[in-house]
Amino acid sequence: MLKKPYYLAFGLFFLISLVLLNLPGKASSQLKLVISDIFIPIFGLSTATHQALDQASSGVMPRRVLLAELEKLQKENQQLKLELMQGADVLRENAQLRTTVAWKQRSGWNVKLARILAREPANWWKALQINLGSNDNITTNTVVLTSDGLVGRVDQVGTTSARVLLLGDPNCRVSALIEETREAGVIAPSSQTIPDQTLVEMTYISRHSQLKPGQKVITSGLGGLFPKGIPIGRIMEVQLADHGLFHEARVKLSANLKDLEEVWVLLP
Amino acid sequence: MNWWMIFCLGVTTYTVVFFEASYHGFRNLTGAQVDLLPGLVVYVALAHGSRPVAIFSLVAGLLYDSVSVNPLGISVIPLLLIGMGVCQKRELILKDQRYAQVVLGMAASAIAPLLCWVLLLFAGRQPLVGWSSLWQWLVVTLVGGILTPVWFKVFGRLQVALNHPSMVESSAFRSDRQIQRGKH
Repeated sequence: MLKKPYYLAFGLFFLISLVLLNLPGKASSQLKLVISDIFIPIFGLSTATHQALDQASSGVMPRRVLLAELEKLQKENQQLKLELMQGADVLRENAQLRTTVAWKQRSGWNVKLARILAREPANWWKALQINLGSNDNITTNTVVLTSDGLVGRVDQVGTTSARVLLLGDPNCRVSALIEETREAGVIAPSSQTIPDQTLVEMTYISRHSQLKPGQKVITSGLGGLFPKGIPIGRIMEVQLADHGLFHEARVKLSANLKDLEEVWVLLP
Repeated sequence: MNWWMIFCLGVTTYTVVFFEASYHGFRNLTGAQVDLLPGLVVYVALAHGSRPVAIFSLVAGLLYDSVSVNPLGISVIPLLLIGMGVCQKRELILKDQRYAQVVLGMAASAIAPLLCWVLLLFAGRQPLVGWSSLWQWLVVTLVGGILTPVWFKVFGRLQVALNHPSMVESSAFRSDRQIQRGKH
């Protein structure tokens, strides 16, 4: 049997939730940040525990494994030094040529390492939280990447944390380019049947383009949000869209979004 | 419902939301993140009534939305509707039966994402929904249902530990008050 307190509790709290839903965007996001700050201590504790466990596990690693790792890193270091020398020469040449034709000099990237605090709990968004915020000069739409490729963009910024929308989220669409053919398209969420975080779709590619699996997809730089040339992934398969107006390609992302622990944030 | 139980329920809600936001093992394995809040609201509705359900739905929904891309307050409504629906029939539900707990948990875990999805569409958002969502929905429903009896067990034990022990009713017979009849 329904009683008065039942109706009162239901009505009052339903009203509160409706008011919250209809708050202006800025007030809502501010309130959201205030509430999410409650989780900062426990996220900090979790990160510290992870780090302590990592240190403990590296402390008991056998000397043989460490020596093998050291040897591998030394070789990699030598190779990178050579590539750096070569790159520096190319950069110098590029700068001279830009001066000759009076082009604007390209500025280098200013990046900062961020740790992943949390991931999106709902199954219909793709997002994560990082431990950098407005205190670290992070702003909305800041680009987030790893050494493998593009990860996404910052959507909401708090003082000590920020939310990043990942590639494949409906609110994170990226203008992309196929490196070989220079065909442009847009990276959108994948409509595939098996839930896989490593796949996205590249749509609106010209139907006359010659696409092959394995071709590299990079950011086009159009729109001004994402700098040109950041790797996104490689084409897996191509098909003509239902109405035959353009091509759609399934793209395997370069960055492994499933197991991210740290990301680089491209500071303005 | 005493203050200790309210505190325990609050800590559990906080921990559940933290777990859902930071633990990805199950998501990596099955492709779906589980939601334990609908099962918890079923427990609150059956064990504590309408006012605790309303408060729990508000707190849990806000905490969940604060770590999600969801608009703030959207998760409150499904939890509130489920909790109040269960409250309405709580006299008729065999809440101590595990079968009933699992069925209710499954129903709640199935309804909550659907309601949330509908509300998101009404709010003009475009959630990521495709054929794969059907699999995710199935996983969320099954796991939510299976885990619901756990809440009843855990909070049942907590209630026993935190409440005063109930007085054991003795029978009318007391051996020390019986008149012993002698021979005379």
